[in-house]
Amino acid sequence: MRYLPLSDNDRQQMLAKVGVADINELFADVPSGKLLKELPNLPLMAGEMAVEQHMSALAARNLSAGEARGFFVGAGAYRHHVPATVDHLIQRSEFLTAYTPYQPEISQGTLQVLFEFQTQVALLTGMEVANASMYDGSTATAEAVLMARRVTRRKKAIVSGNLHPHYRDVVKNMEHFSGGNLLLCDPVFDGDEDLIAQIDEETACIVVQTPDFYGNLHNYARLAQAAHAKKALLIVVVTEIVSLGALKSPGEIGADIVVAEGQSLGCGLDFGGPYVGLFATRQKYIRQMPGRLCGQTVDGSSKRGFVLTLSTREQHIRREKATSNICTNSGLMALAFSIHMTLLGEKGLRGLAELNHAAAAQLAEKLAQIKGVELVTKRFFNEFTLRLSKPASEVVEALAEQKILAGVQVSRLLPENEDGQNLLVVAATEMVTQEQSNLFANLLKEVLA
Amino acid sequence: MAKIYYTKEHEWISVDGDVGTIGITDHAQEQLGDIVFVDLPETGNTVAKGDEAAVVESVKAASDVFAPISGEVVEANAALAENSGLVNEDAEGAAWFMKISSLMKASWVNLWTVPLMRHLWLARADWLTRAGLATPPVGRRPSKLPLFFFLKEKGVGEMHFPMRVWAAAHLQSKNIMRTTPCAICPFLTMTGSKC
Amino acid sequence: MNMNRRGRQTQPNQGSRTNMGGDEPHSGNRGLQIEEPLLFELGDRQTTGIDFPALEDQHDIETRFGDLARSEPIGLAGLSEPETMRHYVRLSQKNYSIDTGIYPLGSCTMKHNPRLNEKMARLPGMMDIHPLQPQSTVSGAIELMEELAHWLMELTNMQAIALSPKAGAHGELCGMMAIKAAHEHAGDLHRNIVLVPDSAHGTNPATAALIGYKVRSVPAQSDGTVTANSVKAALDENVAAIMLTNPNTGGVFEREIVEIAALIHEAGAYFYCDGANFNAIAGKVRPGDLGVDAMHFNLHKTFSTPHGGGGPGSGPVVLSERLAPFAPYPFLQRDGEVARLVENSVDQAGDDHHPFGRMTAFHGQWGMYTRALTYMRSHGGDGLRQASEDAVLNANYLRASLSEYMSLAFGEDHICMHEVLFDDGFLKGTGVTTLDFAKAMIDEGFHPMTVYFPLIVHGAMLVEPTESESKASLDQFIEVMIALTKRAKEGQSADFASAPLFTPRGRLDETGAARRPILRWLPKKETLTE
Repeated sequence: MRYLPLSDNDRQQMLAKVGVADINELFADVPSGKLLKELPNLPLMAGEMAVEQHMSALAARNLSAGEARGFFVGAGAYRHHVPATVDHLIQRSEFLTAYTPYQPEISQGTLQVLFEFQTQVALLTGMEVANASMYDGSTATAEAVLMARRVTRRKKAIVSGNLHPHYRDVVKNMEHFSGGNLLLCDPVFDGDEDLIAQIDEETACIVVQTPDFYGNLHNYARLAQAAHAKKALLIVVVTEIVSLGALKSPGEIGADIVVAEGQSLGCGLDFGGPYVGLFATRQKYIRQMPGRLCGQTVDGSSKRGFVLTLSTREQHIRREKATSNICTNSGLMALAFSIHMTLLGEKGLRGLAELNHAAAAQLAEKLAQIKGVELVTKRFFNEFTLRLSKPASEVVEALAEQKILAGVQVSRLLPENEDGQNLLVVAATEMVTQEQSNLFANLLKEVLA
Repeated sequence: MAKIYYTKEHEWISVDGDVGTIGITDHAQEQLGDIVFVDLPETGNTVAKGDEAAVVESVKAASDVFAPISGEVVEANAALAENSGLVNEDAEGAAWFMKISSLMKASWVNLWTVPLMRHLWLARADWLTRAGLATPPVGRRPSKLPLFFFLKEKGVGEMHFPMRVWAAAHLQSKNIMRTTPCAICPFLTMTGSKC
Repeated sequence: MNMNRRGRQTQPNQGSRTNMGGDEPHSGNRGLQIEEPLLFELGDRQTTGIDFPALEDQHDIETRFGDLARSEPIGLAGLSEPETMRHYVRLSQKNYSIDTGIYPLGSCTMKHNPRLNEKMARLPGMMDIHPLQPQSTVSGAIELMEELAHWLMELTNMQAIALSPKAGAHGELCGMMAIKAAHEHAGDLHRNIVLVPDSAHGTNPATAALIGYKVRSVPAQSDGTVTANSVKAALDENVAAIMLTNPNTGGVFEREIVEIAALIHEAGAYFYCDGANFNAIAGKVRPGDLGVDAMHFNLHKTFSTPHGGGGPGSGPVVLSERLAPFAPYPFLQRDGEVARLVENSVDQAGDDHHPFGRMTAFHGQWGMYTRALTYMRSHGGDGLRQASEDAVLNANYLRASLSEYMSLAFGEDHICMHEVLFDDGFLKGTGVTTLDFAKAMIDEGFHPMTVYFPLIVHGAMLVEPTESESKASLDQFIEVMIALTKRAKEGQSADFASAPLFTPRGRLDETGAARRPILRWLPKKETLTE
């Protein structure tokens, strides 16, 4: 077997050295009757060729974004072009097959990348510090709520109704099990909710998203002030990180914690994961932050170097008193994000943001002209919501048969919301061409006629 | 004149009237290594004796500091926020952690007048000399390995019975132990394990 | 003859290599080891390594976004493509990796990461699909999840699975949430205690505490294992579950696990198994046969998905029949010909499911499922069994070869599973600590083993070679460990204290990093005040 270097001869020699005749003697501690005699009921070993054939056959049954005649799906994961350099670099042995940098002397590559990543995330979000990444945006949001509860020593969390429904569910789940007290607001598809009225002295935090799940842009400066007046924290969620190339950062607006999904840069769609969660906050809260942190230091010869630091927050030291149970970060995806961000640079990110908005604005204009289509979102970045004259799920299925992936029907994530049955969330990135937009518009017109 | 007491958890408390100033012993800071952060309570907080009142962090470990008395925190040492290394330099002086004011005299029991480690070393050296097994070192800084750790490595149950009894009697006679749950073995209170 | 006078020297000068006057090279580099500044010291806000098409219609962003338009510079640095390539290639060269050499980190299972995994994960039909495109357009993806689920359940003899957790600790959280949900469903709200051995990995008590359980420690006996008696002593009607790692964190199979499971079940509690060490028993023992109710996998350990410098992981959780109803969204369901993902309560058919909620947005670490399944299909059931046997043989070979020189934990020369645990007893009196020993290994070209874990062993050294090491590689490792042990015993503690010498950096000041945290680059003259 190509992954197993030991030959039968080796095995014999080694068994002899160990002093046993048969490998099963080394399994002597297994209770009697529990050591399997037969092989598991699974296919036998296969060569590369056979495995490729099998996996390719599975892949062939999926309609990929590139094969589709138009791709407009967003809702928290976005199709952006990832430069060839990124994918090449993350496959380098020393990045792909290295472990967590617990021995910093032989992990300065990983550590310096994390330090640069933390800086990039802090700059993008307009915050003072960022950690070395979380699993994804949704779990980062749940962790942010836990952190706000620790910092304020209060239990109540107010969650915007326009937060991504999956994120809302993840927060709800975590709060249920950790004894929190959640106020979940109802969605307001076309505009601002009144969250200020909900804040009181029991409030630990308010969780909002901009651009929100329906694409609306929000200025949360007043909300930030109201929260701070009651000593509560404002948590801002960003699911499309490219938007920060055009929009004011949450930090400038007054956020205390910013959590984001970094998938748009470096990661690709991958049917939902692995992605990369971004987590940034104020310097004064660093000891309450979850996740890994990379810090700058020097070695014995006074050369600058980097190490994981403030580990006493983490589970392997504090155990039941840890800030979280988290062990891993999303190392490789953080690297991909960082490389993509480096290639873009500030100028490139701004340019990319403009292209995204232009693509979405053009598409929205075309679609809004169709009979039976109403544009719900007034101000948007690269994603907006349409109200259709038919249930959106039917429209999506009909267009999918024509190989147009038209967006996400709100009813898929909010199945019980009656108002949402005819709503479709549509995204357009720099990868959308004029032809695709036109085709989408034409086919949508047919379906709605 | 302030009177200084010690707990078995390596804390010291210097009492002046109703206010106790609390810190950790020099032995404790040595065992912990470089201190990188001290998490202190806020002034105005009430603590009960035995509550976790502060946390001392080194790079690889975090240790709880327990309130030796009950009362209200009247001051936390601001100097430690800027310079946690002060604990390594001057644990029993400038690196005090907090001042607690307490009217509860009853909570002053189970405190010792001599830090445990120093005393246990003395007890061992004394015993070894009387047993004819060693001559006390003259002029040299005594060994840092206190009796406590000697016991812990071996496991209390494995210790020689006479030595343990002698040590307990010695401590009692010197009026160092004020109260102890077990008449025979003072170490029961520390390790919590069975004889 | 025609004399070509352009000869040159083609043999080295005799004698050892010395530095020019002992100075460092002018550049600060050392041959192939290049000193690489921070990105922010190299790039600037104007440079970019990506060319974009020109914007066709100028949509004036400022007017569109009004008060929300970004007005201040962000401060990000960019590089051209060649500079980017160099920056990251140079950084990569400072890393050790599995592809470099043996990586004997106990409990981490640093096995070979086959590149076929990467190739398959990058097929367009794998990479370029969105989790929320219509399920009818991704039947291959859903079937892949079904296949992975089948393999994992078959290997463990368990009845249900939650694929979505994003890492091992996340999987623990999922399993414990399922257990808590099951107790809530049965009305057993008084059960607020979870038993955890003191040898457990820190994620175990952290996970239990996170969801509101009190942790009660179960002591290990002198060989590090947990006895049924000690579990019995810790059990009462308030216990919700026990969390055990098997094989345990010392690399030993818990012999009384079946009795422990029985006791736990009798007491009305559940048995959570930490599957981090599954590499020892895949294809040999099925946790479902032992009485386990929930077990997480680390796909990045047992199933060769890449470690990537710290992640991403993937932590699917297999569940017993009793816990199956509580598996979170999304879960797989088959309606005859069609497999689908049930994403919410309206989606699901039938009342037998009571999912406790959702662990993550979307469906989980799907890119890792592709890689893991590629690996599993490559090995096959027979290969996976052989891999476990080789992993256990390799660890025992190290044990047999090193036990005379180093000191085995708990003082006993007992068979181990896929990892072998030493303590620092053999270094007593040498002045060399476990840490020093590990740093000296770095100079020898090895990544050290796991040190100071598990906490119940003094100066622990946990060595896990995995099945990916050849006998030659192990023999070299053994030789070096013996040589280092001898050096330590000869009193060369100063050498150990100054190690490592041959790495891009020597030992770093971790105290300073924790006392004065600098967590990002800042332009000169700026500091962050708290």
